[in-house]
Amino acid sequence: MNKKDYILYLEDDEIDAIKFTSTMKNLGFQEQIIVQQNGEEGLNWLSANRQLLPKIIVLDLNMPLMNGHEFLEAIKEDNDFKKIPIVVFTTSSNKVDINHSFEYQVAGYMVKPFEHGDYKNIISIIKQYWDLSAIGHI
Amino acid sequence: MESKNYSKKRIDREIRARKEAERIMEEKSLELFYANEKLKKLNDELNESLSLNINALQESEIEKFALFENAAVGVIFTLQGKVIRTNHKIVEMTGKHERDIIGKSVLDLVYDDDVFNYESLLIQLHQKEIAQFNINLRLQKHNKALLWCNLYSSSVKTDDGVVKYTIHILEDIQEKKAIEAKQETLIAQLKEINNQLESFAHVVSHDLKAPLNGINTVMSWTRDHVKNLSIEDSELNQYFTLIEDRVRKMYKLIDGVMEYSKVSQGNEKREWVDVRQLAEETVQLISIPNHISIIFSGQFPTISVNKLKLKQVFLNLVDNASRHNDKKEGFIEINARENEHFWIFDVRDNGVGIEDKHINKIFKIFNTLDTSGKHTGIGLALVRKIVEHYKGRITVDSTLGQGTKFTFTLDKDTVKVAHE
Repeated sequence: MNKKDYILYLEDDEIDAIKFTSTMKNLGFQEQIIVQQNGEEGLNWLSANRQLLPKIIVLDLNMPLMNGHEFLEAIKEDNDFKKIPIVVFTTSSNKVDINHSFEYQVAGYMVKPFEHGDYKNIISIIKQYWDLSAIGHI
Repeated sequence: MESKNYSKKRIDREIRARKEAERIMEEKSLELFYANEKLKKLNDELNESLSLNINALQESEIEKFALFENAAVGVIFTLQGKVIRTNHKIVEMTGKHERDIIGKSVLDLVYDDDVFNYESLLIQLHQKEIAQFNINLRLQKHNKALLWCNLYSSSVKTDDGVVKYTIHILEDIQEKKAIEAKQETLIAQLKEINNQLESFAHVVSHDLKAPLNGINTVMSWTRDHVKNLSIEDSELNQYFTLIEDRVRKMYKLIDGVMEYSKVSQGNEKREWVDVRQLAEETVQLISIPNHISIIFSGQFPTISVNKLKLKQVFLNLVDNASRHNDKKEGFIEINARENEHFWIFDVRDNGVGIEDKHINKIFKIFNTLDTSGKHTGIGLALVRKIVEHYKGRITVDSTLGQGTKFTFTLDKDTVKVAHE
């Protein structure tokens, strides 16, 4: 595994960002997690780091300035960015949100659970996804 | 001789006069003959143009026409496409004199935009492809105003199947049309409001849940932190639990309200559901205390419903029953039967029962008889809404201390089709 590989997490809620990062670390994730607070910041990050793009983007949907849906639409316009697998991670279980996300070929759609045990289970799935999909990038 | 001459002159004069009279008479009678011929021809033409083969109509039928004179609906009789008779109501509806209508086509009364539709039906009627028809169209009144009518046209035939005449009945539906138009506008507005409400509900539910998630997370961090500080404070832990319970309840409430608001949405996904199997599956999801046994009885149908919705019904009823049973040997019986129009289901228990004074409250949203503060009071309201969604009813029969029986019905016609 390349030490420079990292996850880009787009999340405006500070608590969620800390929770995600610490849960991933507890599950044995050793690489970096870069958090940006909305779609616009996410796009800026990607543009500034074209040489070293994230291996996965974890995406919240409801964010200020540029929300998750707008972000999905924006990065499909870029030939480099659109190859990055995206996992949507949101509180919304709204059909409209799910449909729109898969229309933009997201790799997965996970609903943030309320209970701590459920949360850990879902993060471990994202961790597994990382472990498995990163193999192809070596 | 004078007198002879005189008399000869008189005779000559008389002869001349007679001849003149004869000539005039001949001339006049010729004129009369031509006039008569002309009249005959005119009459023939008139008959032809009106196709007034009135002889074909029996006296009794002509008398019948008179019966319609004061009818509350407009009546027009036509013979081969031309109006031969109308009634008073037609004059009132069109604002035209009867003499301006007779001899013309009914088409001349119809508003230009509606002529095409009417004419194609009329042609079919004349060609005997159809025996009668019904159409909503606008009449163009004398003053150019339009009047919505329901027009019913039908051919009256002899026993041999020859068309005698055609009767057209016109009903003024102007007011009905106005109400319909108003209704359509209202329905469109309602749809728009519903759409807005739906997206509003989604945004609100998301925005309300996100901070609750946050509070819950920080609560658990605080708990862990306090634990790490090795502070043994049972009171503090109790406070944490109180906060967490309320946050959890709030979260459930938001989900419940969302579920409740979703029931009446039209675009539900339906499938064929074996109700017995579904009820059994649902019971598996509930942690039923050991002292309560579940009994299935009766004949369960397979119906077309939204699986999740029917699951919600059993989930709430069975969960309620399982939580309120104080008997040593408790039971919950799920029974299915039918009558002519409905599938009927009972969920019966031998639990604590419900006090009479509370019975009316239980189906109302946010009403809970639970005093622990953990329940939202949405469950039974949701159940009722789902049952009513499938055109059924739910009733409850309870004796305090002995048990409760919920009975709900589902309309057979509503749950036998694959889609709404």
